[in-house]
Amino acid sequence: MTYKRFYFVKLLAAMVVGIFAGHAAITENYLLLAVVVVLAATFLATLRYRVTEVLADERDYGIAGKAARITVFVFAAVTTLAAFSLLALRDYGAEFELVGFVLAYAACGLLFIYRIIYSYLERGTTPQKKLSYVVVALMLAAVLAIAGVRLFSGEDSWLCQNGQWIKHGNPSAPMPETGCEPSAGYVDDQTISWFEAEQLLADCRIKQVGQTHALAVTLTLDDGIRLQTTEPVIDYVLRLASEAQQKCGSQIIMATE
Amino acid sequence: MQNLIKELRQKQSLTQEELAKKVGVRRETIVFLEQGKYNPSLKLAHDIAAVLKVSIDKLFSFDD
Repeated sequence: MTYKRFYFVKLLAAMVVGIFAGHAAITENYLLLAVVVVLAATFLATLRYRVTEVLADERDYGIAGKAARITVFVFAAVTTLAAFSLLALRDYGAEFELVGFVLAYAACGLLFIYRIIYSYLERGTTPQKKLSYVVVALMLAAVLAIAGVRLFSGEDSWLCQNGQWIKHGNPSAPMPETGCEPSAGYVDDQTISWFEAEQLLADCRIKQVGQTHALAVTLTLDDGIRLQTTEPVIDYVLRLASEAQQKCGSQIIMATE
Repeated sequence: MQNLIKELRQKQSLTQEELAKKVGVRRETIVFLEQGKYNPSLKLAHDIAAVLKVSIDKLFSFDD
């Protein structure tokens, strides 16, 4: 098989995977997508051995390395700038904060992976390799520590569900006496962040949801208080409400414009 | 850096494709080499010199 034919087949395979990715996103059938990706990768890997021509040589690897360096720099710079900008706008919507943190973590993650792989590839070629290992080990420990705090911090605590404090794990602190009353802190027609809305749905405290095409969402709490918020994408609140119905075992009235 | 790859290749009646195949690179790399737009690794320089039956210092020359 020639290089050109292989390249053509590779493009076709990418298009097929793209079609299935779109289909999976709509139908939420990600298992089918995973199967297609594995099949396509296996097919291309098998086909690659049939190519008699050289697929890539040292010049390609050199160009790829240079392109990767520039890509890492551009991505990190643009993402960091965007993350700071979004975090600065956090008062205008909780979504800005979420996206800002996601971008910031993505930039840190990319640089971290780059550093790890760079250190691995250059091992033994520099007299400062011990220092490099120490730096990498410290970075890894920092990342694991942050991940540990993020993952396990809430394990032993009191969670507010259905207006009641529920013991989660073995919290050392006594049960809080306030802060979990139905509609605590909310007044009628109050505008809340989307995060709060998600939390209220997850806590089974919503009995009715309504949305408009402009993404404006009205939530009615179990005690009748109505709250306003904005969903990130259309129908998102309906999806969360359906999930909440299943989880809570109660019916949520849903209305849409 | 200049080189005599094109002249020596033609003298041995080799096409760019054939030379590329012998030294295990893509034809485009030979094109860039002949145009002086790419500096090869020492291994590739050695392989090309071996195929063209000259020494590396005769195949490649520096301006300074």
